[in-house]
Amino acid sequence: MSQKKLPLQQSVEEKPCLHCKQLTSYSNQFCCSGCEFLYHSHWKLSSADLFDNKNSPYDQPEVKIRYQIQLPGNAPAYRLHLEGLQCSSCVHALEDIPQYFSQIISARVNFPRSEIYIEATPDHSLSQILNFFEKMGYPAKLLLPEEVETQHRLKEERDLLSRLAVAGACAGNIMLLAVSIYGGLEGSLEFVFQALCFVLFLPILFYSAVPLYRSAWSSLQFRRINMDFPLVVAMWIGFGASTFNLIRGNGHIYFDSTAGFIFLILVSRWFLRNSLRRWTQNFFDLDQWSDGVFQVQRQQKSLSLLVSEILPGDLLSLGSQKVVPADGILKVPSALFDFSWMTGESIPRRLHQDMAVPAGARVLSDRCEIEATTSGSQSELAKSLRRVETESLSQSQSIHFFDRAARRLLIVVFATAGLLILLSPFLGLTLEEAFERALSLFIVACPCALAFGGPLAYGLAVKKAAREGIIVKSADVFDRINECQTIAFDKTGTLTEGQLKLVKQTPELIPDWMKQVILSLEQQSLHPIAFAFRSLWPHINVMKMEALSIGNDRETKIFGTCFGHLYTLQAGPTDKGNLSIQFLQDDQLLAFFDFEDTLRMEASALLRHLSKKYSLGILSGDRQDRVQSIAEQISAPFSFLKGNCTAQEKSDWISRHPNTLMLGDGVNDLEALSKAHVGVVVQGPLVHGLRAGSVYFLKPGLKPLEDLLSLSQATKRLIARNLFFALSYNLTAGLAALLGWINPLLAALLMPISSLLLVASTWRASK
Amino acid sequence: MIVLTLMIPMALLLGFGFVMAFMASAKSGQFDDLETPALRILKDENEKGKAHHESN
Repeated sequence: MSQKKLPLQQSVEEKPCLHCKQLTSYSNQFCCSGCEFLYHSHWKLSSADLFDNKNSPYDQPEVKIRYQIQLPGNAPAYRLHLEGLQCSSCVHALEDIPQYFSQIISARVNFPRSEIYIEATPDHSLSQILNFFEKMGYPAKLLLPEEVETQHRLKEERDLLSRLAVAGACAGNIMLLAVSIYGGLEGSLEFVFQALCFVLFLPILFYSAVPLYRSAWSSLQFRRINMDFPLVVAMWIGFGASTFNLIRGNGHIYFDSTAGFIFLILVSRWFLRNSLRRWTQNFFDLDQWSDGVFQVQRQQKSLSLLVSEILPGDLLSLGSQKVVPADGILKVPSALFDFSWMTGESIPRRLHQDMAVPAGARVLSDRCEIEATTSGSQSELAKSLRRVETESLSQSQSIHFFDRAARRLLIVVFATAGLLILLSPFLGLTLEEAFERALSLFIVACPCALAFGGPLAYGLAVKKAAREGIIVKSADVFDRINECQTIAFDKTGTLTEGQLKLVKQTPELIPDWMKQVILSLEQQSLHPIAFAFRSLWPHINVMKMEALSIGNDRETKIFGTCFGHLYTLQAGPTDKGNLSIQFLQDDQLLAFFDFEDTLRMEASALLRHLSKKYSLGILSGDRQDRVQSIAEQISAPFSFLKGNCTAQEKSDWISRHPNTLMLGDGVNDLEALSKAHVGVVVQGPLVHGLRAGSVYFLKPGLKPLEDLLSLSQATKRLIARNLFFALSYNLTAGLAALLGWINPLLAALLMPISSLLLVASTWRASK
Repeated sequence: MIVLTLMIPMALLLGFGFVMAFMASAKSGQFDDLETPALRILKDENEKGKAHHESN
């Protein structure tokens, strides 16, 4: 995952990078690998230095073809995602690769997407290319051609840009012509200028505004009215009335203001789309789960396959850190697995021969073999991810604050216009004059705040959130957050540090030999307790001993022999939800240790603060007593505490409680997260997290939650302020115009000025 | 004022030409990545020599 530009590292002490002089907090004097590479320009790599493995799955011809971008007649090309792109030096160093590495003919970097496009020599070795990037300091991942930004999406983007350009050019020219009309142009020249405005308006109507028609039409098909519908209506009323007035040679034309507002709408939408895309699209393209190529034995033949090509009965051989691609059965005596992707639990588990291994588990042992029982696309994990995906696609967009406010504003404008026509006899106006003035009010008052004040405020909020390490999937998240009344914390892990701390040990003084035995027993272990012991006694040496471990879901036991004794570490009786560990010598209890997961520093204060506005609760798979003890420590008023929850129970609970913001992690929560009003994913694979939830926190802890809540409120206030400003300005100006206090030229000038003021105020408020 | 009959079509034609040029460049993908070219241009051809000099 690329984390460039996001302030993930706690800034310690910033020093200028030796090469590019950009301030950096990295300890090795360079801000990135590119700078280090360019600084040591003698740095050369020959193929001989590179990992050379003729049997690497990446060098099998069928795998190469699978990843190649098909361009007839050209050199084989690939697209890779790189980690750690930081600054311009990275671009230079990477694009200079052909000078250093003979297998690559050309290299092109796409910096915002963290991608590189390379063309290789016909006899290239893909595994060596990957290894080369790794050695340069940019771990690379091959992208499949279908993951590559498709031609379709690119085309759509270029198309939108062209529509925007046409709208801008036409609106600009119409406004120039309109100035002379307002300035007092008369006679046949006035007609010619008005006709020119009409002609220039046509491309906007029939080309630039097409996306608006599409969106209005699709919302009508679902029997809902979205913002685009009144905009389209206003545009056509403006066009129709102006054309009518043009033909009869009497009355106002509104081509200028209508063109201006369409252009501003398109600009603000473009901005919103770009700021959303910039932060989310990169992550969507990276399917971390189905990463890479798998070595498979099928009917005595050795094959290299992608996840989607794995079939039941295949024997998979997986190295350390590989993710199991399909549900299967373990075929080696025992192996360690990390289930954190599915359960959020970071405690590794040991499985034995013939036990079922679910897809998504990560192998921690050096090597293991698994016989697939499902195909890659039919595993439980793949099915659950697909369910989540369809659910999030069909998630209905409820009516949100912005739409509601916009609708109210429209009603006010319509009512005022209607009243004016009704009351025209009393105001001494002819019906025609009244209609004319009502129309001008409608066109002048409606659009600006509605059409671009909103998207602009949302776009800036998305940007601001990203700077704080919060990735937001869509802009309406900010509205939905404001509607939430309940906050459900999934695991206690979101409230605690996740690092165990020793609170009590018996005896008080542990002799060094005992520490040594304990550390030796734990030396292979990745269990949090093992880490806790290691950090407790950092200076004790370990010795070699025969350590075996047996584990099941609820307890873990490690034992080993040395000095003729059998030593055991096992879970003891728990007290107040703490983790208790016993140390035994030949079944005789020698010592015990109580560990506690420390509460996050900010948790108590923040939750007490939040409880004033929201009802809080914990929905956790952890034991009930542990949930209780965490709640007691926080001492905030929780309205519900549920331990021992299964994924299904969580998901059911969420469906029964609308307007819930849920914080969760792990693939097993994804269904609950996708059902929640706002699903916040705090850990786990980001791609799937974002498909299920709407928000992803890149930073640990609870500060992002606080930031997110206050940002949502600030955005709501900003939009309300924009609407109020626009409404009061437009009504004042409109009324002044109606009463004849402002001449049309001044009104036409004031409108863009008011729009600019709105943009400036939004911009300032979002800084 | 007769000059307007010449000026306005000329101005519009000019504008039209620029819009066409913009659309053509958008279509050819010049605006797909607005960030990398800005970084690419910073490259100093003597960079290697300079870096070496500083390190000595």
